[in-house]
Amino acid sequence: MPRSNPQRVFLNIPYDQRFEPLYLAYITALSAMGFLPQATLGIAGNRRLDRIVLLIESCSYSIHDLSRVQLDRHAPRTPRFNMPFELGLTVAWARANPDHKWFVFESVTRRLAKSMSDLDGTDPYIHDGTVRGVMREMGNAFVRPHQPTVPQMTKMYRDLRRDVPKILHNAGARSLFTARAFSDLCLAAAALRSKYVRRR
Amino acid sequence: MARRTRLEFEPLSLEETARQLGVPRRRAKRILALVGVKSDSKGRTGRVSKHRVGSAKSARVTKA
Repeated sequence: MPRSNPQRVFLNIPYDQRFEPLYLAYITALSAMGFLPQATLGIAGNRRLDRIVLLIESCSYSIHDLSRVQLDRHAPRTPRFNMPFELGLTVAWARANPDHKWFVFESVTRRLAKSMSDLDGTDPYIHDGTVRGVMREMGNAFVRPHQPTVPQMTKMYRDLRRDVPKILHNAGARSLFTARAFSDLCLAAAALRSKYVRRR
Repeated sequence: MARRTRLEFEPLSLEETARQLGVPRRRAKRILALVGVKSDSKGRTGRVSKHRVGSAKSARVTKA
């Protein structure tokens, strides 16, 4: 069993182009809080599930965004089950290991009660589908010494967003949802934290 | 689900962040330069001065 690292947070979000602004917002806000985001990007093959479980177990926290409940655009049109499935894996892990803390984010108030009534009694963090909402709710979920402010996170986000084309170019990638682009974005966001978020 | 949680840990240095993300040193340097942050060998960071001109090489003093 891997030892969980206090900085590592499992980020369970949809990987699609429409979600890009919120994807960058999550990376920014988590980095501003001092987290090291981890995602299933780049995990492929027939042992994918085992590696996802190991990834969850290596993290002390997890963020589950259940806002993508619509059918996708491509035939055959299907909902995305990966996010709720990975939340289920996490909840099972956290029951055996209470040190693991998990958080659910949604964009619409009260929708979770309909989409996943098993979580009744759980109040998700509602980000309204906005970048600012993700940053605001991250500040509601976590508190730390020298708490980053939303304006600081916004500055980080703007810089990160501006640098996306260069990061993609360096990675030789077309999509931000690749393992290399993800790690480069996380490092860039951590660097921007040191630029905008005061330590002492 | 956890309620509002207090984080006590210190953020990792940039060097350690790059290591844990699996970003090789040269690539990490390029990314830091891209966002305008420099990192020394101990992983400390600082802004790149807007007023810095030239490189360490060009600033080298040569004997006349």
